[in-house]
Amino acid sequence: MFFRLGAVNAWRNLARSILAVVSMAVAAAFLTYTISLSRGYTHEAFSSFRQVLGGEIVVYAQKVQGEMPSGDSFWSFSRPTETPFTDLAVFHPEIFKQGYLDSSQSQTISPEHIKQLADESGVDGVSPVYRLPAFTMLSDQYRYQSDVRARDIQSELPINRPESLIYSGRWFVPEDEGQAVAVVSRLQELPPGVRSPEPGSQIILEFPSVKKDQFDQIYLDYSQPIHKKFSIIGNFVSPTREYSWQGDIDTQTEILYWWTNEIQIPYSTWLDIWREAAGELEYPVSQLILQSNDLTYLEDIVLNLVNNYPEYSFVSVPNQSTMAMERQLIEKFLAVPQSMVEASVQKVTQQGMAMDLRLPMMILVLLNAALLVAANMLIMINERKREMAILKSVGAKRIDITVMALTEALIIAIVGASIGFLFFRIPGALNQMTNSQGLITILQSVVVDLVQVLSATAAVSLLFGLIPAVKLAGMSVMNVLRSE
Amino acid sequence: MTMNDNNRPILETVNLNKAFYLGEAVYAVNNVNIQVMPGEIAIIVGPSGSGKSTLLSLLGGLDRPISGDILINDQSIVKLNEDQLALMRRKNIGYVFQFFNLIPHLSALENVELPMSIANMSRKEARERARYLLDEVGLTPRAHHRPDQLSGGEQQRVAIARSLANRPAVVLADEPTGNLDSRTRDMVIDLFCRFNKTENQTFVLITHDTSLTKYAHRVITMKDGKINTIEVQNP
Repeated sequence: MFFRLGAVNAWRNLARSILAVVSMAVAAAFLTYTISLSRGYTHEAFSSFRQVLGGEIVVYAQKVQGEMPSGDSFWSFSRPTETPFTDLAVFHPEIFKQGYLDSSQSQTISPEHIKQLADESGVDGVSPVYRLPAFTMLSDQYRYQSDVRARDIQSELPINRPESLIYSGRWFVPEDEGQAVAVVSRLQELPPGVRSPEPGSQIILEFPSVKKDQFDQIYLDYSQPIHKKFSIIGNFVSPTREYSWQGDIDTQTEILYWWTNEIQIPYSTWLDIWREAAGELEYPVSQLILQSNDLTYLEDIVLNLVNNYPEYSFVSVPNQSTMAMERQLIEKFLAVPQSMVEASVQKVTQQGMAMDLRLPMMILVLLNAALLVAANMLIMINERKREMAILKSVGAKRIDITVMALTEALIIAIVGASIGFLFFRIPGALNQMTNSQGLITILQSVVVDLVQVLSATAAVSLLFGLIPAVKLAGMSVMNVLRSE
Repeated sequence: MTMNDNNRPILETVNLNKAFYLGEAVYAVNNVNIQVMPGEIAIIVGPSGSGKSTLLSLLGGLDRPISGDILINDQSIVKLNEDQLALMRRKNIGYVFQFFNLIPHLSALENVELPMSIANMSRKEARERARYLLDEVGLTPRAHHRPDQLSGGEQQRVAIARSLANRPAVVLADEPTGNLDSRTRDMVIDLFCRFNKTENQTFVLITHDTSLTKYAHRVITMKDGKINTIEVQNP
């Protein structure tokens, strides 16, 4: 009865209700927009890591079983040497503690699964990770263990090419395919007299032979190494942390870089070396990098993959980067595009900081709508006084009157929020469809968004409608009837 | 109607006082002691400002006395909290106001159903009783009309039907004929008398109109917040 009276009241004051509904719709639309953004990532989020890795999702052939009891409390990039083709090191799922792979499971990803993954909802590209360990010889005396990785120059998306991380020299161009050219991470510490491999210089890589033993297991044979000379065409760097300490005169600051022993070479060049080292052996693909154009629903896409391929491990690069950032393993500036980082360095006179205004704006808009609902309710009190007195005289309790008044506020909130949600979310859902996301993934994300938006708007409306409603319910019947 | 021993008053006040503080205490109800027996029509008369309406609001639990007691069916209501008073009103009190006070966007039928819905009566049962009561007050053809589509007399008949919906112990009527022409007034008074006779319904009426006292079993005259006279008669 009281719900019905509330609904009728909302309908009876249609003009005012529409005004409040429109206000709530605007707030809900903004809320939908904000939730949508905060659920996913901006286009260039953590681009430096995605560029080095070559994509947004890392797939490992085996399930990560747990954590290595190493007690690492830092972000480790070391690579376990005993598993040269299957590692967790470049971007392992537990960002500051290494997991390990269950060797009893399959160690490769089948070509059929690679094809299937390419057709999965939200996946726009699949790049198998081809790598081969090698010794990099910088001088007669100095060499270090490195890892030669093929880069798919032709099909990698521009966002996944580490061009913006190039410190000196350049990234690959299509003409580099088949050439002995390499891009290496800029080395930080080298022994005296040893020159860092810089663009224009050359390095010699010593590859092992790849063979199969009597148990049909692949192993690396360093007894007959293959030597290859490579021209360095670029150095890349990736800042990780800004490290500050108190110097003699003032505070000293140094930016620490992500150094990797990876040596990137074109895919066709890598294939030539693999054939020379392994003969007719098939490369055991144990790691994939998946590309996804739309980062808004990346976590939904990853969840879908986890459900569809329970035997593999899927790592969302932005998610892992966020975790690392939350643990202060990387600085916040990495969350913004590299261009913005550079701009902030150049503009030394800039006093303010770039701020993410989505949350404060969302709160302000929602607050504004809630205030309008409260104002609407306060006007409503004057109109409903007599009705309240009648209801009380026939036995309505205060809670009944409160429910009646709040129903009106709730209806306005729900109708407004639904309109605002649909206005913003339908184009979003269409966008998801054009990004080849499956219907289930889209529906899941729409429902989660809807629940969040409706809950937030309903809660705010009830909160702001409560005081006017209680005020109405607490009025004296006789005072009202005498004054009417 | 609530069962009651006919020798015991269904409504009783004991040394009832109500004062408004306007610089000094002004007693609207001053040491009032009245009794209304089951099945009676009690009419309270008196000039404007004599405290009739205040007394009625106290009897219905819509206002609180500063001292004294009010007993309905031998149960004191002055110490009940707001929600307990609301429950008491649902069960024991029916109200008829001078200006009808119907919910404007509900039909006549829905207005009569309202107290029963609040008392959690089943929808079917409430509808049946509402139809019966509207039939009793001669408004079956107007059941689906809203108050603004009814005349003053018709609205008051709907209000009377509503006041009887939950079979209350007492119906309190505040100037129920004050806003009606003489023909309609007679029709409304006839209704009170008819329900009093057929359903043994107790009524307490407030009026300026002394000509109505002939219908009452008990006539209470008030002046300056005090009881002037109480006459018991056969109407």
